[in-house]
Amino acid sequence: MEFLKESLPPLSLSEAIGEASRCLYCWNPPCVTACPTSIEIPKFIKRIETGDIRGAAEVILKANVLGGTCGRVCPVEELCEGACVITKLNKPSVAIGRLQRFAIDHFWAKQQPPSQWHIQKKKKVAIVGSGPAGLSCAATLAQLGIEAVIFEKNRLPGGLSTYVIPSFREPIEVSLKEVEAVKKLGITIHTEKELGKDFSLEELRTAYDAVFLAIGLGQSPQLQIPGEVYFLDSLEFLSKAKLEPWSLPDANNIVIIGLGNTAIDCALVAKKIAKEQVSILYRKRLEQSRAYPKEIEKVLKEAVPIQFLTMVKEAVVKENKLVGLKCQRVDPHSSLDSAEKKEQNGIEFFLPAQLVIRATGQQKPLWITTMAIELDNGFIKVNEKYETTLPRVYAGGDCIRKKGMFSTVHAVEDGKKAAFSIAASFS
Amino acid sequence: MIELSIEFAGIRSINPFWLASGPPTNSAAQVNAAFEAGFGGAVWKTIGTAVENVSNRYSSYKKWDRILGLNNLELISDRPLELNLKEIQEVKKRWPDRALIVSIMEEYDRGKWEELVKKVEASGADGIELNFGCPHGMPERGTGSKIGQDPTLCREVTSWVKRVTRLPLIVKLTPNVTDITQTAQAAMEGGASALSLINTIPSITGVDLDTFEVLPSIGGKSSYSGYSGEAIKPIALGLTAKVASMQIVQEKKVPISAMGGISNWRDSVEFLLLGAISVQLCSAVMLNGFRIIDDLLSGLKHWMQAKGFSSIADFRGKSLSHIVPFRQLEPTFKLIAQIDPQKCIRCFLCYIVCRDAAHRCIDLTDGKELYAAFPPSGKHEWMFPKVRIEDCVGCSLCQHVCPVDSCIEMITIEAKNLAVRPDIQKKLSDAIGKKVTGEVLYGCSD
Repeated sequence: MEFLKESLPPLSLSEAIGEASRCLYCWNPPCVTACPTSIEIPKFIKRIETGDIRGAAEVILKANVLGGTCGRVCPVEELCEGACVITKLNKPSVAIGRLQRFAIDHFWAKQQPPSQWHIQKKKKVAIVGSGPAGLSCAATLAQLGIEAVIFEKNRLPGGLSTYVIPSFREPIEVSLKEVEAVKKLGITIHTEKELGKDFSLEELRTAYDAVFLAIGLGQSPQLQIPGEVYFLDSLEFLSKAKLEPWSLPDANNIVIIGLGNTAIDCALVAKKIAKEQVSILYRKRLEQSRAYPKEIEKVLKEAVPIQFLTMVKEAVVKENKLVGLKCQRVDPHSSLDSAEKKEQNGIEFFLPAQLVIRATGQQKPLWITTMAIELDNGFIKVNEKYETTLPRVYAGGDCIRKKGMFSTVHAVEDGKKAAFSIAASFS
Repeated sequence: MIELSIEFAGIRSINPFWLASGPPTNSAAQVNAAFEAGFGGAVWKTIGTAVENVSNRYSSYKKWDRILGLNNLELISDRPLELNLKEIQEVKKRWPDRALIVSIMEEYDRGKWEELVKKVEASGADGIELNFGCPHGMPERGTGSKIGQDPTLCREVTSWVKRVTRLPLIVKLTPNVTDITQTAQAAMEGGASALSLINTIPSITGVDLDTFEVLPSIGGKSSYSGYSGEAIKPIALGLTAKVASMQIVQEKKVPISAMGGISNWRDSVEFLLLGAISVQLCSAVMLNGFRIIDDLLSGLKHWMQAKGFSSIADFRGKSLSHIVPFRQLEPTFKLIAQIDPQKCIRCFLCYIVCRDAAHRCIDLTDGKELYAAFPPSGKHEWMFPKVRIEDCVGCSLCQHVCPVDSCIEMITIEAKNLAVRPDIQKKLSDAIGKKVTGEVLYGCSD
């Protein structure tokens, strides 16, 4: 299927060198400051320019073990590329993301992955979740000589990179390759092992010297409307599209509810499978969307209509099949809190749909409330050392991200910093 | 009315742009095409002793996708001598208003040189250029730069030719000598009517890091080859100025045809300002074709218009007087760098080069008061590179690395404000034979 291919082609060596030659090699560059993992960007770019691709990859991997993923999925316009000083000369920024991807891909293709680090096995850390935060924490611990064991509830490791990020952004092979690279550092990953089901947090605390929770977030919250059971959750949809696209229903009209970055991914993927139309329903105004402007541009380019100030009232089901949605226009002046939402009495209309995807944000890890960990607005509460309120239990990634950007690169940095904190606590 | 025509050692040319001896002047078809395009003259690719070329013959020195220099292992013409002479005759007949000069080279044998010169003279060419500069292949046979590097040989061979021809005789000099004025002097003593310079520079453009072969690789082997193109322009400019400044050249008004890295009209004007009458191009044509003559003529004409010059003679050699021995440079002339906060993009390249390679006089300071509108937040957004005036020596390195147009300017300051160290002041006054008062305010010359 076409959408399984990566949409942005890789740079050729000559293109990469040409692009790298545009870097000014700033001192104290803002791109590094803007990178959550503080990759020494000008340094790796200069190495590409001289053909030292291995050297470039080393610079990236030293700061970010998931450089291949981040080179593809980072919101570069908001981060490194957005900060590039060349833009102040009214020139396009250096394509840092693509150069990073180039360096890491070449490194993998041409070089042997780094050999196993000398792990002392004096201390053991359990990591729950094999997404970017978990992998980054494990790799950093390994580099510091500390044994790390990862527990993953899914069949495949890699978290959202493996299951959710659409293939046109990051093919599954890239994610799994990075998992392999981390494993080669001497890290064990136990898959299909779920916290709270297969083992408890207390068991981990007893058996390990520290625990790092990188459990991410759950599915989108329910809209509490009739017929919602027929909707597909955004993560489920993206995961099916990535891993088993044949299992998706045959749909003429696909409707996505929500206008965040995940909703946009869903719309772009849906566009490849819908026979007739994909549309987005959003109950707020465009300027209220938390999606990156570049991403919104992408759906507009794909001619996906977005209905703003529109709410879904109920699913219309005939003969046990979803046929559409009953929608309602929202009063533009209402503040849209939940009480007002229910009292809306704008124009109602019917929108045909055979597949509806709910992409209305991710739920906080609800099950964690049953454990003795203090939460902050539903997210796991941590201090600046990534320590939770439970001794020797740390957390990072989306499950702690109360505010700011939810991005792979932020999770990678959490994992890295938490690993340093954990290592420091052992000394 | 702008007049671009020139007279060079009695040879008339409708403009100063000539093709230099080389691959673009290898045949009548090429020279005809060049003249049709508008070139004012051409120096026919060197004819003479029989040679056999190799392939490949070129390599290039590149910065990313841009060719900075071209390297060649091409020898003199490998076409039959009689064919070349026949074509020269045809071309000259067809283009009476263009300068057609024939480059020649023979082995160190008086008889051979004399015989060749007579044949060339019979072809009707306007002049002869003696190739004393070819740095590859030919020196092994005792000719080319082998002659050009030895003033005695240079003088001798020039005089052999001079005795048997009435045509203007141009000696083409090699840059591959310690002092080019010695070979220039020898050429004139031998009877040269004009000088041309520079020929290519012996070099190696590169080594293949995978195969360890030297470039260009001819079946795995290479040889020292001749370097040309943009990269050699500064060397050619320096040597042109040096020869043009020679007393004998000045007194006898010896015409100079300059070449070496001329790629556009600006380069050409620089050579003319340093004393050349005509300029020759080869690498630029090899990389772009004859069509560049349009842009050369347009640029030169419009520059002359803007400056109020009506002929080449109006400005030829005008910049030579700006070259003086180092000891005559004014030690109290002082510039300092000034950074425009509104233009600065905060790449801090000026800061880092000044810190690591110059005089450590740029500080990163709080730039808040320098901005009308405070820039958006960011770790280094508030920082601004600021020159510590008292420590700036005016080296200008910061200005060279700054990627923003006119963000860093070198400004003159009042010399009397400078505290010249007494020991240096003494040395300077001894050197230039006058007391350094430092009371003059130096400004721009125009």
